[in-house]
Amino acid sequence: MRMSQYQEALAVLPSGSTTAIQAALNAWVGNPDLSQVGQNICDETALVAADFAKLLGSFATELANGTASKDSWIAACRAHKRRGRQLPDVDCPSILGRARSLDDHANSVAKGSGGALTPAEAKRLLLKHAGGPVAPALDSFMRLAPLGNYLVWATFNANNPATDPFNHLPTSHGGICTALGLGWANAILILLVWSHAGSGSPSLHRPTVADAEVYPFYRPHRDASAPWGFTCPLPPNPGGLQPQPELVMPETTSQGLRLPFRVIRA
Amino acid sequence: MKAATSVNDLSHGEIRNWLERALLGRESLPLATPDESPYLGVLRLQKKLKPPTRESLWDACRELIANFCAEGHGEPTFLEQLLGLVSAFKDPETVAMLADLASRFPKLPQLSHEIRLAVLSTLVDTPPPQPPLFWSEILKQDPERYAALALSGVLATNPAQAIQMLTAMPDTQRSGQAAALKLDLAWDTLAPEKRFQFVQAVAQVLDHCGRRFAGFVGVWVSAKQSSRPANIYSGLAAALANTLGEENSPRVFSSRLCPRLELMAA
Repeated sequence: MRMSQYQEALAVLPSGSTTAIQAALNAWVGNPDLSQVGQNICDETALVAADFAKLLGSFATELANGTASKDSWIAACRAHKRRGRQLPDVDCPSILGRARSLDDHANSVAKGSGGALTPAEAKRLLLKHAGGPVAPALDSFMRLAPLGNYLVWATFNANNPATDPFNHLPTSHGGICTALGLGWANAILILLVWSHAGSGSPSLHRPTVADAEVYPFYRPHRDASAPWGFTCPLPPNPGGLQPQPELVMPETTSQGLRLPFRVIRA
Repeated sequence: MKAATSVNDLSHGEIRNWLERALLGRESLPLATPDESPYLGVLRLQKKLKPPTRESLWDACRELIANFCAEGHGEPTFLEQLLGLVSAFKDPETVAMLADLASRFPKLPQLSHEIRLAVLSTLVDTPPPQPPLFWSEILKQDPERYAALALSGVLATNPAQAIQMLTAMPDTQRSGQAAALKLDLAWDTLAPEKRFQFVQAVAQVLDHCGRRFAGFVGVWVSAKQSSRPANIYSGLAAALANTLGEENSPRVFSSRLCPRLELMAA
């Protein structure tokens, strides 16, 4: 039987590292969130062998330094972001989208404004202008806001990459969370859609376990050859929503933002 | 979530350590998306904690702010998250410590501008509000950087005085756009019978403001002055109500300028 990519990566590490990693993953079994992270590491397919070995090697080095296992994993992940396969420029979807909590995006708008707006003001403005015309002044500040923190998770419509990815998803809060696998999203969500070229065409990568760190709702896609990842719709998923394409990109401002934007309450 | 259970078992000292680690993204938190700001996960988690543990968490937050205020510096990524938490904490003692720190900014050269802006934003967003005198002293520290936040601070307690402050605003596009948005938010909170007076008072000071600044605020003034009463749209409203039913008919709000009339929501 063919070894998994995890087993192949472990095989190139010194035996002490392998033992330490396996012991750490075994210790996570009793914790529902961390056991899922451990399972994701074992199921990972998006990293090439050398990068997977480097990630696990960093993990083992941190463990050997006496760092707690969760901290060790997080430290290793932070040194190995965006190592999944990069999507060739010609294959990049022209329109991308994401859902994030309204509070988090209000923070981004405030931060991007450089002290012109506070987070609470930004939140009120986003609520006021959701779904309708945006005041030109708000438009300017919104375009300065990062689309995410450090790493932007994005989806797109694989059948028609030039269209709004939310057009073929349910409009309800529950439906969006189910389709995108957002497990703790009882918060108000903002749906952001942007032009990839308009935002400077940052590199797009297939997500990996390192990008997800300890987020328990990430799932590696089984097909190692797939150009992008897929979300894992949340159970019970009564509507049978399909997994949605998933990519990551570096923190980028919202210059290519498409308006109007939408806000969805739980 | 497992994290809530484990935090409930911690001593106060351990909770403080946990909070520090959590704000740096080193603890499992109920995040809406993998990149969500950690403090929003802490806020979500604290709702599930036992009351004594929650108290201990807020005490830890207060202690961390006290340390920051005493030392006058700290790690920016951590402080941004901690200040985000403070906005939700709404603790007068914590706010007072931050206000005192802000008044000492000129003596703290090692404190970055980003953190200074985050402290001032927190003071704008978190009750109890600071008096206009506090904000006029802040404005004197750095008129270019702090003008927008000082304007927000005064608008919250004394809109008439805030209007007089407009003449001291930097003559930039950014400043004008921010002021227009803040005035619009302030206008929303005014009693209908005070709104016309508010807009007129802003219009009157614009002659004494810089040209670029006045241009952006003037657009807002013109938009408010050109609002139309509802009877112009009454035919359309009746037609919509007839076609869609009363539930779907446009909502009617109080007039923006003339309290005795009613105005269709645009």
